[in-house]
Amino acid sequence: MESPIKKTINGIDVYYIISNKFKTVTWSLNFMHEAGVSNINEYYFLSNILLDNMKHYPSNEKKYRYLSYLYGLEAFGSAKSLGKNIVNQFVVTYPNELYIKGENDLSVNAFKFLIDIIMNPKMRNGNFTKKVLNDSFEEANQLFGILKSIKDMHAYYNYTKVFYQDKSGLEYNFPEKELLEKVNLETLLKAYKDFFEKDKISIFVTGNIDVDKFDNIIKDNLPSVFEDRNIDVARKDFNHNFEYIPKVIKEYYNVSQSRVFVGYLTNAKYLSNKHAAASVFNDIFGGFDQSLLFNTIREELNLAYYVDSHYLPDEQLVTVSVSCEVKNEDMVVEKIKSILKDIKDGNFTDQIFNQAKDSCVNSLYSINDSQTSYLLQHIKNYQLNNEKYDLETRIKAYQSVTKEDVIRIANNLVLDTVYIYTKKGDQLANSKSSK
Amino acid sequence: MINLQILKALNDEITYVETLESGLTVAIHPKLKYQRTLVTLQVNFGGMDIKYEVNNQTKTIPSGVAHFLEHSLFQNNGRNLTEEFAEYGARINAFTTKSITAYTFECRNDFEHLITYFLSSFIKPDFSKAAIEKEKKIIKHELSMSEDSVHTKIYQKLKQMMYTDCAIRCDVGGTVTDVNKTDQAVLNDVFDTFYHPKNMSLIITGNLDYLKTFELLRNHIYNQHAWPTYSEVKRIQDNQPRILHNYTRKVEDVEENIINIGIKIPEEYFNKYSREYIHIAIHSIIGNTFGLGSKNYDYLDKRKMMNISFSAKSTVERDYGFINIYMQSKQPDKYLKEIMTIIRNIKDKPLDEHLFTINKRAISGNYIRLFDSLGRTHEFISNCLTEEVSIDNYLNNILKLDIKDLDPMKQIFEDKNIFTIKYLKR
Repeated sequence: MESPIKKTINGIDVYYIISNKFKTVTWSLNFMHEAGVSNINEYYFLSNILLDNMKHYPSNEKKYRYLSYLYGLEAFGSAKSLGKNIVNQFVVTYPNELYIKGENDLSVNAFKFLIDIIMNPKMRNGNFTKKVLNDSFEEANQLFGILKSIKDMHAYYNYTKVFYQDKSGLEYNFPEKELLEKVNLETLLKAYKDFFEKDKISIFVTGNIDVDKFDNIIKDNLPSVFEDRNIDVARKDFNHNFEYIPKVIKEYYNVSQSRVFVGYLTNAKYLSNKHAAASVFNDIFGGFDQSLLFNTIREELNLAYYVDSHYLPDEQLVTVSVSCEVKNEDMVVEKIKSILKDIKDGNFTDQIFNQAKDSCVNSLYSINDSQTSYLLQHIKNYQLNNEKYDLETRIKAYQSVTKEDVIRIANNLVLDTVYIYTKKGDQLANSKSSK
Repeated sequence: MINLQILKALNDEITYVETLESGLTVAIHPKLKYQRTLVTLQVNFGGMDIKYEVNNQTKTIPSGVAHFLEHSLFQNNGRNLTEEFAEYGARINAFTTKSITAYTFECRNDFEHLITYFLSSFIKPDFSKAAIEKEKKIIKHELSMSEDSVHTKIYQKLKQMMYTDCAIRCDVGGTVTDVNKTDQAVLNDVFDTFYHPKNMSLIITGNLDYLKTFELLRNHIYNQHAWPTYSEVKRIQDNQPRILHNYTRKVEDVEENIINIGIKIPEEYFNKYSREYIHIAIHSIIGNTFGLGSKNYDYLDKRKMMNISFSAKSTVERDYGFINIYMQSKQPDKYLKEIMTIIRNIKDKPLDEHLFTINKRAISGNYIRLFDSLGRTHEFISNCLTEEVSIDNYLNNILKLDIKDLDPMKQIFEDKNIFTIKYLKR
């Protein structure tokens, strides 16, 4: 894929990522908010409200039929954390008109629809209606209900709550249950106004596109209320302290298998010079099918069917997840610790080290095979670092990781959380306790 | 004689298909701009194949054998497939459904070595007792994981209400008792019966030279092997009529009342119509009746009878199928009354012609876009081979469908085929 082309159109940064490999065109309109948690739920709600309450499409029937007319155009909104900031992203994606005989206006109609989502929500007397807000509360509650009914998700959600309980700033999960009561029509409208009055706005377009044509589509349809502003992007920086006393929590539910989560804090941050080594470490630890955790806990000891680890660089977090029999949960935790000690001591073979590096490099290359992954990497990198995502440089960074780098990462891990979602006896099912 | 078929899914999306001398059907879909190559070897043997007739002999095997064999083939002849593939930075995996077993791998380099090694693992396996005992433990862990899912329990219950034969109602992984019964003899016997190249297909998608690959496969020991004559397998099922159509249970581990409706596609439809037609027709009717663009969706939404938990999906396997409509609701009885009225009306009321027509534009657009994903392209071709759908006519078959063509499938929406489950919050 070619390098992104950056332009400024009507004062807004526009990035074109051109590729003749894909048959899809995707637009992403991004609003980056100032750092902070205060409006987290409002921004989350708005990502759905704006899509589901469009003035010109008062019913699902009308909207869906129009989207079908646009060859199944998909539109979606999200609110995600980026460092200590939140970004609202609105995306439309559709087949490139180059592949549809006699179709020339699909891209202009798609962009108009995207703008319509932001500019024309259903309102009464200049504000969202009570019904819209109540529907959002109801949906959030349904979401928590669904979450609770899926044990693996619920256990992971609870684990993240424990991990973040002594860390300031944004958590990983939205919406934030504890702040829901603070949301009202006034705060919702204020958050909506932030889109136009406070936010940094950017547009990303990807596909096999003619830049001149797309320049004109943007020039002709971008509302004048869109103004670009500079926002300070604050990265998360959790206190990495070797003296930290880990949180150890057991909670009791009606389950037949225990879910064990062990969370380690790293000092390897996103795209730092330790990022690549931390990824390779994670693969050796539990990140691929030859990992030490998998081969020991599942294959050798048959303690679990499912065991893995994953590294979230934005959160400075390495999490081990295991699903095992209740009687084995303490043994599993001890085994995880002893496997980490092996890596700290350099007790792993060159073979697994090289396989882990290959596995990481192959995962990076596969970003090239997905238009969405490639786009998201660019969006994130431009927003965080104001530069393109350079895949070749990333690959070189992984290729130059040494065993010593991996050992150093392992020795810098701080055990932060041990969370066990388990059962005790029927009389205690659904009760909670901590130790 | 080489008989290479060239099938165009789109003008620039071409699949090459050949049946090798051994009987193995091979489909190669080159995607030269992509980094990876995906490979799937699929066997026409799945979780529902537990009673069958072969060479005039009727055989019954424990449930879950297809899945057990899938696990066991990763370690046979003293070789470990996962380890071997990891050496080359490749990943190998497998899954079993009710109809098929599939072995998949993806790689970026060393494709020729890997495909050679991969295929040679399916000629004559040798399972050690120790490996079988180890897999038993792992599979039992796997089975117990689903015990914690209320959704799996409801899904299983729904199947048990609709069908009497374990071939359909039992889990793909089988029961713990049956897993314990599985041994070397059973595994060898089903391997010999089902893992014949004539009963299998190989699908390859990605960055590769198709001519060179066909050449490699034609000369491969797997293709050159002296395979015995393939004996056709006749599957046997015995599903008795069901009496229990409605089931209610009060449980503690749900946050909200769950309502699940199953609409069974009668067995005779699978003799009368192709699996492709059943799939397309059911999908069209569901979209027309419950989809976002339907009048019913907005009707239910306005009455607070629709929320994010709603789903309407279909399962269409080799010999059976059903529709599964799921919803969590604060007002289960009111919801059930409304949705049942809609379902019962499908049979006699005309479908929405405007929605049917405009949906075809969405289908065309989604079809073009599916080829942007290596995984989805690969899945599409694999499904076409499994379901005997022509790759180059798939889209046209949908676009030329008339709304009247759906009439036979509308007839299934009657009480004798409808089953409901309510899991109420205690």
